[in-house]
Amino acid sequence: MLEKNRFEGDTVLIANPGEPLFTVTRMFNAPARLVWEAWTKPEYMLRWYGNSCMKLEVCEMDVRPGGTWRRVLLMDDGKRIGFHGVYQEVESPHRVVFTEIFEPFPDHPSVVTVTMSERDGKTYVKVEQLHQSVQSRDAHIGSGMEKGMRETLDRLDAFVSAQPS
Amino acid sequence: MNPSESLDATFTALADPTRRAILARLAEGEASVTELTKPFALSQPAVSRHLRVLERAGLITRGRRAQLRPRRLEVGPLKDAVDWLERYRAFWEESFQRLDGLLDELKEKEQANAGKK
Repeated sequence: MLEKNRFEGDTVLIANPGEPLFTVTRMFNAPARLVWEAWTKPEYMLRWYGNSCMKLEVCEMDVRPGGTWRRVLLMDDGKRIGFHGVYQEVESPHRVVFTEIFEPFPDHPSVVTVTMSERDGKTYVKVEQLHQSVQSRDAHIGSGMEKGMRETLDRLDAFVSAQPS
Repeated sequence: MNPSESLDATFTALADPTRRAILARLAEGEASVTELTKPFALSQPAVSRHLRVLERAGLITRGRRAQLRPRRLEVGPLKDAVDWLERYRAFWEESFQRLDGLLDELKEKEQANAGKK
């Protein structure tokens, strides 16, 4: 397991090599209903999703079970990459589950679950992305024996970071 | 292998606890198959099968020293995997910082509207 930045307010990524799942968590200083709006209204998502090298150019979403969504990211080299999927579960303002297809690899859909839990006016957001592929199916094998895994990977992580690249 | 396939190979190789234990052992220094077999309740052929998966993923290589052919850890693929994870995290962190700003704005708007009522 690789876990970085454990301070509250920081984005934490948990990648457990025993399963094809990536989890990102983050605390937001706002009630869940506003966080929900930011995640489910295209005009809001266009303002925050992306980074300095990838700008969200297209954002369409029909947020209801069976509704579709599509996003296109414009890369700083001028290339565009598209993602799309279908909403499976929609429980405002706590939980939304949708499929995600990275358009260059249409045969490898993943399932994304976003949960929002509010406490004392703050909202803890968890984004879980479960990949499905032959490789990730294989990755399920062995996920039952995770004892010592974290220490092992922490050591590997430290070892790798210490190497000159 | 293209970069995506090689990441898949790395993550698949890392998915098994025995293989992770082998890598952790090799992180301390190179070792022969016999030495690598000792800590595990596994036959040498079973350990060799794990070593082949790690080798295919480019995570380990064989030394040339006579018949022992000690295995050693290769850092490149692991570093690629760690870098990829860090980029994935950084993408979200940058997005979330902008989301903080948007949420502040939405809160202010809400308070302003509440004040008018």
